[in-house]
Amino acid sequence: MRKRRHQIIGMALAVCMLGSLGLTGCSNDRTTTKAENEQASKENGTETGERQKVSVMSLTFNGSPVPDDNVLVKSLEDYVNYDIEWTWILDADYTDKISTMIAGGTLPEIVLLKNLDSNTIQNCRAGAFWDLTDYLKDYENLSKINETILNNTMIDGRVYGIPRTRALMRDGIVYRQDWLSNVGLDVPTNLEEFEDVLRAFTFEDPDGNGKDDTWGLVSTKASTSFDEIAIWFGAPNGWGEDENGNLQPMFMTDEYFESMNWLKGLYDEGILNSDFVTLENSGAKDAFKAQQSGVYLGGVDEANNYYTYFESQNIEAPMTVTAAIETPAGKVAVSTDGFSGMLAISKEKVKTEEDLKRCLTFLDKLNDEYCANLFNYGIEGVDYDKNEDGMVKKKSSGIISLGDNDGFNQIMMNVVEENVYDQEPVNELAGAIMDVQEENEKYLVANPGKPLLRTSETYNSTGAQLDQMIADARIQYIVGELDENGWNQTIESWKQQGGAAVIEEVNESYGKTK
Amino acid sequence: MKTSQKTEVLPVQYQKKSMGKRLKKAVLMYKWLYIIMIPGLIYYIVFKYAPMWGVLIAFQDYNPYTGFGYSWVGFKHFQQFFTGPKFVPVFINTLGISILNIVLTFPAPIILSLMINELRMQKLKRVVQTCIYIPHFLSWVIVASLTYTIFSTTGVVNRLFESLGLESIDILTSASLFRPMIVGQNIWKGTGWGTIVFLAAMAGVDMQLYEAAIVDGAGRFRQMWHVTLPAIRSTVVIMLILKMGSVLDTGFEQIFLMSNALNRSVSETFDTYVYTVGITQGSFSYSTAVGLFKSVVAIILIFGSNALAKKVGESGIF
Repeated sequence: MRKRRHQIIGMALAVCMLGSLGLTGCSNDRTTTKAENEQASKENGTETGERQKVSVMSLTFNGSPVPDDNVLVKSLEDYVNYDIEWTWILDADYTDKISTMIAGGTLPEIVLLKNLDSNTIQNCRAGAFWDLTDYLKDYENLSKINETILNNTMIDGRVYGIPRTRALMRDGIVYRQDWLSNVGLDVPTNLEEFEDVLRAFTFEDPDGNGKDDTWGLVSTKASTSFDEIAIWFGAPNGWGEDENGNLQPMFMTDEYFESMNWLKGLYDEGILNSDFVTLENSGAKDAFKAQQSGVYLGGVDEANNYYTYFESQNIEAPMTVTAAIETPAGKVAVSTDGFSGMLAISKEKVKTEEDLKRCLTFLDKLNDEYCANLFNYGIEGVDYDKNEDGMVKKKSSGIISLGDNDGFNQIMMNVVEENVYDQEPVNELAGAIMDVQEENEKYLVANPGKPLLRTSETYNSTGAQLDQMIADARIQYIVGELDENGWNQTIESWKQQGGAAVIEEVNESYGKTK
Repeated sequence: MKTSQKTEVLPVQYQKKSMGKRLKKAVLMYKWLYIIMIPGLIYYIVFKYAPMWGVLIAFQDYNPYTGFGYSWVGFKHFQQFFTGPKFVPVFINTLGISILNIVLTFPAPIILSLMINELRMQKLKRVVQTCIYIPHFLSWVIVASLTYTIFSTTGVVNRLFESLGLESIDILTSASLFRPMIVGQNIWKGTGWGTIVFLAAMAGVDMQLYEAAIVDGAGRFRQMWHVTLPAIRSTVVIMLILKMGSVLDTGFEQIFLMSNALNRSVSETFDTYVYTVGITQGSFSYSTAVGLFKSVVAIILIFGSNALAKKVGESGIF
């Protein structure tokens, strides 16, 4: 009996072991550093004489690194006259990986920091990356970075990386034109008309299939479009001044509450999709493609993707894009940060100022006219042609859009807009999208709190929880699980759990900038 | 008393010597067994014990760049956690799910094993056994997506309810149905796999006991009650003790995948909290402190339940 019992224990332990083995099996390292790269670059070095070296870490979306003998990579290396040693990391793992690599001392010289989360900020403060503030002026391209954008990237007033600049304005509204015609409405110019369209798109069978299978507005669990709607009602973008000139977060304003009431109305009426709480973030786009919704709020260039999709599916789906509509707050549009991550230089690997300058020269060259267009459009004659006005016409046979090159242009910074050729609109829609973005730039509402928030010690240590509290409470209010009282209580406990300190710290920094 | 102490002193010293000798002899005798043990030992030392050094960051203000610095802060992070507003809800949520898991998920494989054990067709038994292992090998991501597809407002279950004229219920976003949903998933996924140990124990029951019971006139249920269950009792106790060690371990993926804005009040557990604070917010020290607290509780529970098992006459695991 005793022996048998031991066998059983052994069995139980074996099962546990199996389980833990399975777990460890999943944590494989997916970093792909290329040892062969070094060898290849050595060979190149002998051919061209004095080629400098630089190592770069960037991301790929499909998980396979760009091969070293890639045509685009080769032309890039030839132009800048550097041998690039790449480290490719899968996009989904990227943020988690950085801290591990910093701790392990394995970061390469130039590192793409995908976003300025509290992790990154702590690392910058601790001195993991070079402070570039005083060096930028010495470089032809880097000295021309847009002031607003550069300001948005600053941590405690210092620049720690070259931003990957993006348009400050991307948002707009996309409509299905044929749906509008089916329900007999015009393109909305103000909020009332917009609401009418949403209602008609929900209840009047805009796709004419006789079924009740459409939503007016589709949102997701990230509820990104809700912030934009709050701004329509007059709430500030993220942070705004109260009557005393102090900054306060947007959700403490009455206008924000009003926008929640409006959304709650839509939800109760069945215009806002009932499953938005659990819908994945791609849900809004998927619904548009699946013809379940005919309105899309967000990046207006998304219309291009819809166009390509509908065309590939042989679906007749004309679209209209519009800029800001007339709202209680007038015509307003949310400004983006103007950048999507930045390229920083690691102090671990780059020890001397001389090496720093070598890296900066490399980054500067990546913004030259040749490189900028290589990143954006590919190789002239292969990927695109230039017409007589100097505008780019993409070729359908181009190689830059091939899967192998996925990730190649993730180190594109585009800091000098003039260096990038204009693109000839492929169709009317593409032209309209550019017009919308241009028009909306007039209505930009910026977020003054964004860079200041990074200086807040409390926000850096509790920000993620604080943000989630408010996001959750908003959703709960919209679906009716929380009443006005509950909402106010949430704000109170937000303040108690660190919010009050965040406001104080942000205002302290705000006072310094004024 | 005194005399007995005196008499004990000598034998202990005497024993020590012989123990050392005996040990040496035993090691030499079974040297090959000890040698094949080395890889396992190395595995545990390198991957389980060495990383425990990292636990120290719970007592520091750790930053990945500066590394294991000397910024010792003592129990600051523990204090912050215990006095913080999150401690009570997170603790209650974790315990709530765990207790339900022990009460409902733990007996499920035992009941299933008893049922399988009663099957007399060997082929059918083997086919059933193999089939019920399958859910264990599906990742939580798959299980979660299946749940979303089946139980969403437009899913099969709610369609069925509607066609029967019943109210549709949104299980996925309901705070009160969150725990039943989690337990249901656990039962679905883990029951089949859990039967392995119990079936092995049942296979070892002496057939003569059954024969004797039949002679005494016991039916199937009587046999199960008086022979099978007592025979596997020690296995059940051991499994329960092991389970106690993971009371505060509700598993990260499952909870994380199933939580959303509307059920957050019951779905935030230690594991998801450590993730939010540690990974998304970068407070490594703080989340290590939380994780360490969890482990301490687990150790106490293991020792406690082991002692309890010994008290009621079982022999426990150590």
